[in-house]
Amino acid sequence: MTGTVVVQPAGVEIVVEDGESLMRAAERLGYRWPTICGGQGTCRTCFVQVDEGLAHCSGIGGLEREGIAALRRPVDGRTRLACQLRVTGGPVTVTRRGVRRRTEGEQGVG
Amino acid sequence: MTTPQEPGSARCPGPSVQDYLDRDSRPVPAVLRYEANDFLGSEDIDVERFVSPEWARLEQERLWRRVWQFACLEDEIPEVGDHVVYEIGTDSILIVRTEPGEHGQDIRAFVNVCLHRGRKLRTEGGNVPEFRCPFHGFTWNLDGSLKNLPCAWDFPHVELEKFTLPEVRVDTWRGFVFINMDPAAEPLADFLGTFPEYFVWPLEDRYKALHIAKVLPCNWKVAQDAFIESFHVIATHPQLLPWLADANSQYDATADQPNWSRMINIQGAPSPHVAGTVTEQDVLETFYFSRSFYAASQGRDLQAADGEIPQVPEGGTARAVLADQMRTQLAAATGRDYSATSDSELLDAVHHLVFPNFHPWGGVKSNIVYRFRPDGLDPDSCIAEIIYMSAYPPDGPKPEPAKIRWVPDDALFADIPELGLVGPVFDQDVENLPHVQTGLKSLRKPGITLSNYQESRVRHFNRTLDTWMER
Ligand code: FES
Ligand code: FES
Ligand SMILES: [Fe+2]
Repeated sequence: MTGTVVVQPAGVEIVVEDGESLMRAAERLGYRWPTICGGQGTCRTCFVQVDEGLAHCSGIGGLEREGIAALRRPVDGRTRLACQLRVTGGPVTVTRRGVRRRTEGEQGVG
Repeated sequence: MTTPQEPGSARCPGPSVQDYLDRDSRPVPAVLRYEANDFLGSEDIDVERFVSPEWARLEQERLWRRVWQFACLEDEIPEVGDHVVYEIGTDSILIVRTEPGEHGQDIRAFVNVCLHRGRKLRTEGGNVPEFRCPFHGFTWNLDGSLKNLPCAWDFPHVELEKFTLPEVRVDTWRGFVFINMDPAAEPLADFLGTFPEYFVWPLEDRYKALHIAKVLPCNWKVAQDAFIESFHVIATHPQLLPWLADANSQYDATADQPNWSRMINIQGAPSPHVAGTVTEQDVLETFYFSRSFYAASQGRDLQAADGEIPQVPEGGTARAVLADQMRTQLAAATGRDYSATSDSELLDAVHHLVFPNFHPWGGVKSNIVYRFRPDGLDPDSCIAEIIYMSAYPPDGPKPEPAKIRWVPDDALFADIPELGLVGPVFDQDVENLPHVQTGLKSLRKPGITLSNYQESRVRHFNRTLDTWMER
């Protein structure tokens, strides 16, 4: 089952496929997402703030938990790593600055 | 009065372990019939090794950096990327499950330190796809090769292909992962000597049901030496005397096997110190009453079936009755058959020490494993651990290994109900240790004095340690 995510403040809508992370879906759809590790879950650069739709978000695994704690955020589901976050149903609203369409000639990451 | 004897050949006048094994209701494994103790002298053991910061520093260099040592269980790192951090003194080692490589081995170990400015790469275990240093982000693959160096333009002087994590050797025994920091060390199998032949119980078919750790204010050897003899039972655990044969325990320690020793301690029979004052029924009842039963599936303690304490039949022994009860209880708890298992394997403590600090107990009850480690380079502090390796129903899946639980300084092992009888008994042992550590510094003789036989394993262990320190 797919999921729907609205990324603010740009208002970008992303349909996340089954088993795919939010970041991966955004890249597939031609958006650039801030990352260093390319979605390995180790750089913590891809974080988002979940504003609405927590119930549609996947559980938090050990690696992501460690990353959220390192960001000095509570592990309460409100801060997530976009490369680990899976979504079913929705819509889920998240805030992340810097998500924008890849421009001509720009390489996708991963 | 006494006939002149070879030094070290005197034994407690009570019945020997082998006498008890002769009377076992079932055949006992041949390995329990082995009995060998070499007299290794009566010299005092210097106090320095227990209290000196310089000794602790040299020990790190000459012992821990060169010896095979138990680090973790294979079951703790089943998936690629699973890893544990093993700390020994001032060294931190990363043990990781990797994709099977050319040599087939898929557990590897590395020094857990970033080659940039020396931050530890990982501070706890878990699962990661790569090792990314939290300081500046230098990243290594699970096989130790460098994966990414941020701002590589600023490090033209670093040869990326050579910037691999220093590797540590890994080998396994019965599901236990051992590491060795010395590339020139002999293979683990050679190091263990004949020990694997003498440990006949299938530890690899067990799961880690319990893992307790506590920091103790004493040297790791002061702690360890307190658990490799039964001599101390008379004063430290007097409540055990009615059902635990202490002074007549058997100690196996030989010069040609410097890296392991063994102790067999008969239970369900009285100490020679009190044998004249207890009946077989007293032995049986005190055995039950000393137990604080927790869970038959994980624990080691015998629980009265339906709350009924059985009677020792006319002419029978407490030991035979207790063994039968234990047979029934274990079979019910694990779904396995113990009808052919000897009384000894159901009741006795069969304790092994593999140098320097790995203590697996034999027998068919949950196998205890102790480990004693230094705490940094502080000669006055150590980490003591108790692990239970338990059976599980043969048709069931192997349960997940228990996570380590740290007992706070102000708490007791008795506060961990799963330890059962071992908890309060361990507390009694631990009670002595800070007073030994401080006492040694006030001692007005250069060494501690050991008995010839009952403390032969203390001598054997410290003698092996000497050979490492002198190398
Ligand atoms: S992209 Fe690196 S942690 Fe998510
Ligand atoms: S210390 Fe590890 S990246 Fe700088
Ligand atoms: Fe003890």
